[in-house]
Amino acid sequence: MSVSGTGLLARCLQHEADHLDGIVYVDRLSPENRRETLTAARLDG
Amino acid sequence: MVGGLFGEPVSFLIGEQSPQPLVLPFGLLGALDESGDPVGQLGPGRLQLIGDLSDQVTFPDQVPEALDADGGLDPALAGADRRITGDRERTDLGRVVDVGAAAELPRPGPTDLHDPVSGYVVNPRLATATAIAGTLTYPEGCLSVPGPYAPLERAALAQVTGVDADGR
Repeated sequence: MSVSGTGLLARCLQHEADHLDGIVYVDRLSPENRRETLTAARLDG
Repeated sequence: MVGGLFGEPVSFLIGEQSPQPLVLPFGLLGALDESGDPVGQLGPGRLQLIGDLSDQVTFPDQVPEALDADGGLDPALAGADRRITGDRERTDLGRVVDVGAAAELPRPGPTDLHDPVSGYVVNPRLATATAIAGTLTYPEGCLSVPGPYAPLERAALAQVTGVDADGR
């Protein structure tokens, strides 16, 4: 069986498939954006 | 298809469906808010991607990017990384079976693969088709990294192929 989608659903599929490989979306950001995002996660939490 | 949740292959266009940034709860597929309620028009229902339980992945204690230029642990990023691990544990509510983290997630019981409100793809393999559909950049977030969103370019067309709850 398969599930395919475009746009939002396509993003969800990739996001969740990444998790199965131990990858979070932050890992895919540019170094600058990654640092900014991780710092924000720490400060905003 | 997956439990009749999505019927035939679903097409959603970013921007039409969800004016707000997405929250993608760890282990759940779909646009759900932090209470687990569907947002946008992906719901109701959830679709979980379930990997091979015998092929457990162990997360590193820290992502390589948490290391500073000298190879030491960046204090700011290290803090965030611990948060990520903590949230992986916290967001496991028994329905979360993201086997990428199964090795470290306590699982209260067996997952009901015939849950009427959830669909499942077991051992999914992802394929994307940027050559056909291109890419889209859109703010993305995740409960594993609570709070921020960041624009991320991803393939505009994707497909997962696996087996359903009955092994088909």
